[in-house]
Amino acid sequence: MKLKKYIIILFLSAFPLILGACSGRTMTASGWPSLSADDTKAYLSFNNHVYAVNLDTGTEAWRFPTQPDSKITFYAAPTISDDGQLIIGGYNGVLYSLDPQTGVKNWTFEKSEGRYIGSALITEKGIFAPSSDNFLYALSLDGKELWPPFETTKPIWSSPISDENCDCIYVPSMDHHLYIIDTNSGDLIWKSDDLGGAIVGKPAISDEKILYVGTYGKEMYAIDVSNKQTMWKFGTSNWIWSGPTIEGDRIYFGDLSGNFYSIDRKSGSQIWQIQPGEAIVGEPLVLNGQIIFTTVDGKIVSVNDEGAIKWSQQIDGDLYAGPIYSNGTILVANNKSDALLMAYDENGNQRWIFTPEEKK
Amino acid sequence: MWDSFISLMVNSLLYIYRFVGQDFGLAIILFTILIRLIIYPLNAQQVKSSRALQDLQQSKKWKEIQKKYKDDKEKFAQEQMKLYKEAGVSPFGSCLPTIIQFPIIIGLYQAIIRSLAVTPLQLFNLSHHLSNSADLIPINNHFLWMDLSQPERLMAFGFGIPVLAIIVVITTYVQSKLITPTTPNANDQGAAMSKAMNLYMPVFMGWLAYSFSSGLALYFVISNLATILQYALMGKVDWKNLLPKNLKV
Repeated sequence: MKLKKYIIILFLSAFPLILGACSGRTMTASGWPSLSADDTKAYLSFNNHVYAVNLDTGTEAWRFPTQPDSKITFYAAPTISDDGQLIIGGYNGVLYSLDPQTGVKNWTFEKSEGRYIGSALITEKGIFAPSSDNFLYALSLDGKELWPPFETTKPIWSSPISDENCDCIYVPSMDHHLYIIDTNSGDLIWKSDDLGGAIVGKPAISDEKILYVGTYGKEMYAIDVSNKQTMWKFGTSNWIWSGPTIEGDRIYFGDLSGNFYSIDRKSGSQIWQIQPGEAIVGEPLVLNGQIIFTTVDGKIVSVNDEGAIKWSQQIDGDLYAGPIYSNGTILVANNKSDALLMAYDENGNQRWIFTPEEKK
Repeated sequence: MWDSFISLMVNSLLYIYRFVGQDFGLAIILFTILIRLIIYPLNAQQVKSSRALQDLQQSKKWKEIQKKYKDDKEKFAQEQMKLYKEAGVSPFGSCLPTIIQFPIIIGLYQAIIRSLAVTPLQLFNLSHHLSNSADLIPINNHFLWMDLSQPERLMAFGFGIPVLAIIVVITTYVQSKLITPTTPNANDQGAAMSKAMNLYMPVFMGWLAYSFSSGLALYFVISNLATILQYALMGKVDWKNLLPKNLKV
């Protein structure tokens, strides 16, 4: 009888753990670290904090919030505005404006009922923050709403991009469509046809107004936004999460099978393809003749424009975010908290590792 | 192997989701019913074995050897085994089907949760399981008033009422009352254990439904209703158990 009781108690205790392990009900950011940088600091959002890390030493300059709050978690990469604000959206549906020097909060915007997963776009017109509640919020630089939120039919996880030649922004949505929105009024200018899959990667636009966007439908699209015509589409082996990077007459991007592609921008034909590791989620970085990207199984890979590997590093951890470059330093965000941010020189030599200090 | 099994479950669930016009709530309901139909033979076997075992344990012969060998556990065990053999009953006959069902049910939970994929990491993980359903992503989480990826609350008069959790408590209680056989000896240890479980399980399941995604709570409700229906079809439901003791004839 006693044994039966213990078995029942054990079962009742273990069952929520089994479910909990797969329910995703908590507010923990089930994402990965995201990154941005200015000339002096890297800004890293991960779980309960945004960290500012000094680029020259790899030491922590500040963190927000100073004490962990289980209700505040981050996934979106912070964005830096020209007027000196760091804009970051949280999983709690709050958009924060912080002082990049000190991490002190300037203002918050709390209208979203969803999570901020894509980074906000900041232009001279304002702040454009995509949310998983299907809305794009447009704010002035002091956090006041510019126009009523623009609604799509599914969450917006991708960051919008702007176009200097028109007062418009390009908003990809998980509803399979690309939207062009008037930045002054929030009115819809154009909505693409169904692109065959959700869009989560940030698109890229060339000087010739050709927009490149990848989808979960395993296709990279080139859309001429002046006449709204699809120039070409290129089929891949798996979903495209990574945004493309434009360099010269090519674009570079990866897919979730770990294939990395170099594509001719005009024709959409493949120039080369390599598969150095597992899934590629982050956007590639083009830097002085090398293309640098990360793979989920912890590889940092640098290739030349012919697809030959120049250098690579295998790190202990999973790399989802793409590398970024600032002030002579390549920065890579790792999802292991004992080496959350790593800095390399252009030859792949490690400069420092940032490990956040445990604070109780 | 477990991953392949989950992939099969996820893809089957999404196949139904596509079939019913991308309504995930409806897909969960149909998928649950389908799984219950698939494991019906196991359930039937379990019910049959457990009834046979119970009948044997209430037989005169059983009670006699219980009394006779109350001080000799080893001998009692030997005699028990003899009785099992004679009656063609396996003491584990009711456990095995339950054990086989358990991974299927866990797989069902995981298929529901993984398909909902509301965070980047969940979506990334889901991509490993999907064969040809990328066009369905992201899943439409809304069903009636619920967001199936979140714990359910129906807002009324400024309060969030956990309607689904309440339904889970009621259906779990009704289900356990209906399918638990009454034993003549109220002091029987097994009966006492069943009575305690009939009280604890609804509260426990209600707490799970209150705390976890409503997609799971929906599964609990449908699963409870399916169990009641299944037992009813097998003629094993004792509706009188729902009545208070003093109203029973």
